[in-house]
Amino acid sequence: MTHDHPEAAIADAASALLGFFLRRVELVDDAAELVNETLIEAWKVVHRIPSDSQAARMWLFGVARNVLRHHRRSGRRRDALVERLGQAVQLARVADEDVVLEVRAAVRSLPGNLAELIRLVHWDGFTLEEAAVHLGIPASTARGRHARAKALLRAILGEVENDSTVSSSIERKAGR
Amino acid sequence: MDPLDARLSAAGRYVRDDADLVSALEALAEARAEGARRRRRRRFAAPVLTLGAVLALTGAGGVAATQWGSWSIADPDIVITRQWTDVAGTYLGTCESRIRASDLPEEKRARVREYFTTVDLDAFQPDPEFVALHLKIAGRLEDLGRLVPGADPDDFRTDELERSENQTSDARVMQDALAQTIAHELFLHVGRIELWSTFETQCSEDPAEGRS
Repeated sequence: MTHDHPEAAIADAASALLGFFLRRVELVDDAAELVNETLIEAWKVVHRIPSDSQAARMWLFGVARNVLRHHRRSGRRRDALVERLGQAVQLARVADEDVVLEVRAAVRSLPGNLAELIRLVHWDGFTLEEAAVHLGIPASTARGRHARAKALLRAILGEVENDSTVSSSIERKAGR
Repeated sequence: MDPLDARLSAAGRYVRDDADLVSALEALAEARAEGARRRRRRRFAAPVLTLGAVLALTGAGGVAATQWGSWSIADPDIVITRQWTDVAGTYLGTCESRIRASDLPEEKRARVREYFTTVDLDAFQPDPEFVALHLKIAGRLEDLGRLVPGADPDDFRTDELERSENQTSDARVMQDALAQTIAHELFLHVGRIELWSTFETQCSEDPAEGRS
């Protein structure tokens, strides 16, 4: 699918980019500032945004990942619009339930490369293949890491494999 | 659905349907879009900032030569060579830019080298804003359309710029504009780097170079 204009691609991705940063930085103000930086960087090279919608989304998240990588709190006076976004996010937030906090903490406790893979796939909505591109690793490696990350998460969270696995395990035991 | 997948999905949700938040985000996105639209009509206001890296990059090792001289960088990691023509195909000159990554901090060095192994340098094109900037300073902005296909001098606000007596060849302008593109891509992938002592460009307008 293609987008009509790069402007639309950027506008469409703004909310997802905010989510991307909110899940990776501790301070809401930083997330608002990072969205701002990403928009600025994207607009500088707007003519290079791929025309395909999904490719454009990949490209924008690539910019976002680089902005995040090089982000240092600048301490400079923040744009009023960035302040407004930060405040709006603060006000809109509701207290997260313990179960949500537990899962987030479990993801944070994973080795960095596994945690980022989980975030990209389960939180940012990328396929394993797309996440592999972002991380610069082969898709087969991403699949292996993803399985390992989920196994670790199950162990941390005390999860059983899944319903079908449990059922077949029970059946096998019953058949003995 | 795998119960773990469901728990992960729930843990990744964030508020996105709050009216104030949506409004604030839309306002920010629109402001940045509007800023970009404005800059398209008066491009020199912002590029002077974004060009900081490349102005430094081309300022130090730059040799305004019309033929090859001796190189300061004898052992480059990356060499970018282009033969330049105008839009009509008339030969302008041949330029070579050399980058030496060994002077960079170790972490940046590895990433710069890695970056250049993954990109197709031939696909990079000169930054039109940079071309316009240099032509304006050289007092010949009317040449813009001759060098950049489809570019119109009226798209650029140039009234703040003062003319310099320094004249630069068309080929050199195009090579430096190419360097600007590469510098920006490097910024996106590697972060800000100082290339003062690690970048050098030479150009020759000798037609014999163009046939080689």
